[in-house]
Amino acid sequence: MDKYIFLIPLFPLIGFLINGLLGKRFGKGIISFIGCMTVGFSFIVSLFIWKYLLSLEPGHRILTQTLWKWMSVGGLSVDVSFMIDPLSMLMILVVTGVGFLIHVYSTGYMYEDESYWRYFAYLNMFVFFMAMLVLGGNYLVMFVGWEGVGLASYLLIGFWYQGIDNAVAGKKAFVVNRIGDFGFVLGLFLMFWTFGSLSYLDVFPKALELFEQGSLPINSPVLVAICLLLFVGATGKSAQIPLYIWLPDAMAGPTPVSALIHAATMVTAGVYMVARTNVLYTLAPSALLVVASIAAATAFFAATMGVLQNDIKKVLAYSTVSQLGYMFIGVGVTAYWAGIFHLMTHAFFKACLFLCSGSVIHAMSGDQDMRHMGGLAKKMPITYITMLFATLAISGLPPFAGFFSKDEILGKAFSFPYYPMAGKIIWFIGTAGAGITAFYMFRLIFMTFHGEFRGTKEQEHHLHESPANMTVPLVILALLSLFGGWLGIPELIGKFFGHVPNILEGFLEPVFEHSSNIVSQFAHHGHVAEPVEWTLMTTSVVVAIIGISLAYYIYMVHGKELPQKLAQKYAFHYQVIYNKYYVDEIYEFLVVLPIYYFSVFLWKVADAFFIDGIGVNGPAWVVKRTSSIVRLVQNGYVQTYGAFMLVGMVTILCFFIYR
Amino acid sequence: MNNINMSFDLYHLWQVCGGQLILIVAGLLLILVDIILMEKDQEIRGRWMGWLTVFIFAATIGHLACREWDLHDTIFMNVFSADKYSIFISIVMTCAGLLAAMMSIGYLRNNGLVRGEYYILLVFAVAGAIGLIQSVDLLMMFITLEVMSLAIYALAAFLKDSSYSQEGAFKYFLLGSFGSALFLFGVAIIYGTTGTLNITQMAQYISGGSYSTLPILVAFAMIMAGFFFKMAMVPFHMWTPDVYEGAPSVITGFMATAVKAAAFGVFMKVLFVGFTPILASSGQPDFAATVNLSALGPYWKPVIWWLALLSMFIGNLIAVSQSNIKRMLAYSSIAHAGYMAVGIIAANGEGRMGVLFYLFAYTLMNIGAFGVVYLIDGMERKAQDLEDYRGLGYIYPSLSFLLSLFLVAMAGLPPTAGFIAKFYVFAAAIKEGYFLLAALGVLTSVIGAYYYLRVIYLMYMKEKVKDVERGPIAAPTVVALVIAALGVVYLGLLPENLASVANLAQQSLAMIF
Amino acid sequence: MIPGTYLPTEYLPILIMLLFATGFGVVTLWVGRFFRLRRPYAEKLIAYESGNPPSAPPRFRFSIKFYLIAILFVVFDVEAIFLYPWALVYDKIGIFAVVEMFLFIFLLLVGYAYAWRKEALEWER
Repeated sequence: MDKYIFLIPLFPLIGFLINGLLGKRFGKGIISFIGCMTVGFSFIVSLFIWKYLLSLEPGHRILTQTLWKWMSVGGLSVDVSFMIDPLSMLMILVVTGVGFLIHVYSTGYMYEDESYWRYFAYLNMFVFFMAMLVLGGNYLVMFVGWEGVGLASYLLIGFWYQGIDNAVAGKKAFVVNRIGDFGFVLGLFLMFWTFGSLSYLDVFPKALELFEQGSLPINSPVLVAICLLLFVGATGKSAQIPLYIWLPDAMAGPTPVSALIHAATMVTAGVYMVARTNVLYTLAPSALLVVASIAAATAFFAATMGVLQNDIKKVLAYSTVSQLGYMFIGVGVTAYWAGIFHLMTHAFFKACLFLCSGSVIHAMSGDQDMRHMGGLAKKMPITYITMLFATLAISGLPPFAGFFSKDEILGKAFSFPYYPMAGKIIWFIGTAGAGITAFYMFRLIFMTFHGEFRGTKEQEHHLHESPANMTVPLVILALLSLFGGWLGIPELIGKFFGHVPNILEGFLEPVFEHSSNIVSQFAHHGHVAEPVEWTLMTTSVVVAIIGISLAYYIYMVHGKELPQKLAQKYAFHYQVIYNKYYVDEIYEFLVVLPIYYFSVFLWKVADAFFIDGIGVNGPAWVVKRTSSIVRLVQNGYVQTYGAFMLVGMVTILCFFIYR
Repeated sequence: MNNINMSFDLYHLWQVCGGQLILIVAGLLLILVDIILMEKDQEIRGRWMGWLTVFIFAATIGHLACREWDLHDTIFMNVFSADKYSIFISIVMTCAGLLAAMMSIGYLRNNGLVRGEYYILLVFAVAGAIGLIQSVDLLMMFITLEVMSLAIYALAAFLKDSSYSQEGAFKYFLLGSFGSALFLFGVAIIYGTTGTLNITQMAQYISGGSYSTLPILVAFAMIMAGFFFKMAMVPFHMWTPDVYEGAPSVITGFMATAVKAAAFGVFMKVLFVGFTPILASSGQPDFAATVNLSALGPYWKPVIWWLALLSMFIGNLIAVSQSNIKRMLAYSSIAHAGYMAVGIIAANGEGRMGVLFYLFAYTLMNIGAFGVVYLIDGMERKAQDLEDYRGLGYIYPSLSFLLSLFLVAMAGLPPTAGFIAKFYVFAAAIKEGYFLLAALGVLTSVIGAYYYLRVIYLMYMKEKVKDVERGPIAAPTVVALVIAALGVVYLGLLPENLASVANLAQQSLAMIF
Repeated sequence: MIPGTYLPTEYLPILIMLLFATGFGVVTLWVGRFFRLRRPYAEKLIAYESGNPPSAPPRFRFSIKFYLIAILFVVFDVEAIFLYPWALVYDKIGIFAVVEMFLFIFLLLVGYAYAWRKEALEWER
């Protein structure tokens, strides 16, 4: 079976080449067929390989394929090789499976677009690079995919280049990602320097061997440096503080792109990379602490920022940043499988949410402002129900998928084996963030689907349910958001249903085996008592319910005092508003204002000033300024040029003599 | 006196200097063809001269590639040497000449400049460059350097009506003469001190202990300065933007690749044969003592360390604020010189191999980029501003795609040749412990990505503001562009073949004596 | 030889010559100041040009053709100079020297033909 691994990336590549080179001459039917079927074929191949993988002994579930020797330099030999183990298997199933659904959805969503072929070519190119990233057998092939998906994302964000903001957003995404990649490349160089290889199957055994020999102690500086540098790359790709800012802007791209690239697959590449490198991270607990802390901060702050967004996609964007934070909490507290589990369930429900929002935007003729929506549930029942499913999943209510994965992460965070105290804090922040998540997601549901329609008459006239090629993927993803979590039912709950095994944990176990050995060897005892576990689980559900209730209370019970409503039907609702005033005042004072100002602070000050201004535009400004100052020397006078040469030579000479 | 002609036989000459001979004879023939065709129509003349030149370069590449690879030989009392190293770089430079000649057919027609001298000068420039890379004798190095440079000066000034071209070429000539003078002065001091001009004998002589004396150090610094000028390393780079901007686009591409390859090649030869101990590993007892010369490493390594760093930073930083694409690419070529120099600092086999690979990869992507630039330009300086590239992605999709490919390769994104080349040199530097330099190099390539991708961004994500009409596309230009593009991708996917050849080439440096 | 102790003594005569040449010029001019008479008046101070005041600025452009001719002259002049040493030794080197000189002259001949055909030798064009 390992002979066929190369087919997975090959099909989308073929699709990209055909659509990219000839697509202009094809009809939309052929383009859609090629675009979808190539990804579909990849998915089928993945399924076959999966079946084969399951037939192997759990300890031997590693398939490798080497296509050719790529390059060798200074004892380092890099092959173009693929490796499939349970981790990459799961990833590739998600990438091709969800990717296929989103391709199908796109045939409906993008049908009117004039550059239909270009869109599908880019999308196939993305799937190709993503498959390279996931399947690569060494870090360099992963890096190829890593850069490639960045390029594809850049092209797709700026797909509607007519809007200047879109193009700027695309550029921002690329530049921010390059800053992250800078760290990633340095991490690779350092890894090569330390271990003399970049292949997964060489680096990790080598690290373990050095560790056992005692020449690579736990938390050794070089290892911490490697892990932190790689994590810099991950913060760029996976939108963590401080490099998260590109992701909300990336929503300028078409909605299916947001679903595929900026929610389900590409942005999770950082999580995959950390999970892939688990052996090194486990040997560098300080790096893990940094990962987990940044992740917790991101999870919480991004959630608060989601609260006051009115653009439906911006809400989802901040929510993605926040959820990525949860995944990183998972991998950061050595619960690698839990992070990957959440990655999978998040792929389902967040893709579903984005596609639903796409369906809504489609129905609203391109309007994304939730203040213009309302009461859409009646007009678009399928979209409503599927989105509700996904929202319940992201809010973490049982038995939806998000409950199991988020709970697993928070439970593991509570018992962070290396730093128990920090783990408790991270748990607290994470749980609070989960409450806020439930709040803003239901705010989205209530503002969009409930109440009365607040848009124009014309928009109301156009409201319609989307065609079948858009709704079928929605339904499948909604079902996955419900059942997907059942793959990883914790033991605690499982035993009530006759010892349902934790399928996913068992499947992924071989990948993280060495890490768990190291953890159990060196860390504090990580297990928590059963009652505590129950308490944690209940707490997170209760927090989620509080969040939902609050949203219901504010947006359903008092929903009518939304600013637009107020302006339009001031007289009619005057009485109502007047009566609720007091409550509002308290709410405003205690909840909205702090969150609002905090959100504004983060958004405007932290985001726009510190991070946009100094973090991203700052270097650009410095670069430009320096550039124009240095340019002054280039004044065109040949005497100056000659003088510089002479000065250069004399400097060299002086160095030689007075060395 | 009598032994001058004793060792001479024609076959031997052909073996050692075949490439040069073909080009010189062909250049003379081209002069005759040019005057024979003088009365003919410009169209016919251009076609004949152009295709003949293409054929000459192809034949030269064929000869060089099929030459006995294992033959290490010298001629004229060690003036020229034939070895894998010089053949490799000769092929790189002749490839640059070939691609440039193919593009020139269309370029000259588009600019209404069809003149035979252009091709003649191009052929002589390559002949000089091959002579330069083959010479073991410092004086012959100077002569061939001038043969190459004079032809390039004239080519840079070829746009008679463009003041930019004239100004650039004049600056190039003045500063080039200055650089050559420095080099020649260094050579004179070497001769005065050691009594020889042959770099191997010089190495033998100075390894006796005089390497750290004042005259040798002065000579070393002057020779370095002379080469740094041609390599366009900061602070010897100042001529680059003016000349590259003014010169005909195709010639700019040729200068940035062939001249750079020649300068880097000959500099590495002088450095690793004459001033550092690679000869000691040749097994020749005469050169065993040259191992002493490793004491010179602490002299030149910090110098190149700083110059490489400065070149990478200044080249990339200034490129960001350029508005003319040729000027931008000129600064980018300074930055690339810095990257290549990183491979020299490593001073190990991998580093030299990386530089050779880099030279080849850079030749393909840079000439390719200038080829697209001249096509979009239509006439020289009609559409060279970056603003002119807005929205071109939808007007000229193929050209934009090719330019994007070349720029992506220059930015060093995988899986292109540019990435592999950077990887080789940085990996070699890291292996020798130059982690800081490699890290700073990667940082500068992040800056570099910004301006390369800005062009792509303008082409694909901006509305056009100005009607840009590209010039008519000649068939040979298309072929050249496609070859360059395929080469960039091929070297990105399968670099091993070229890398192993380059590795053999760099190993043969030890065999020059 | 111990590194750093090397002195390029071969160049000492050149240094002495250099110092002497510079010194001679400076010293004679300086000594002359004490002996010469200095009685300037208006006619003595005007530019000396065969007794007439200058009629045009001394800098003016020559036609580029002068340079062309000059360059061509230099090329063929060098050729002629190169023939002298050849004539002295060609009997010792033999047939090879004859062939090589013909080759050399042929190279220049191509250049000559080129210059002729391109009308570089015509004054009026």
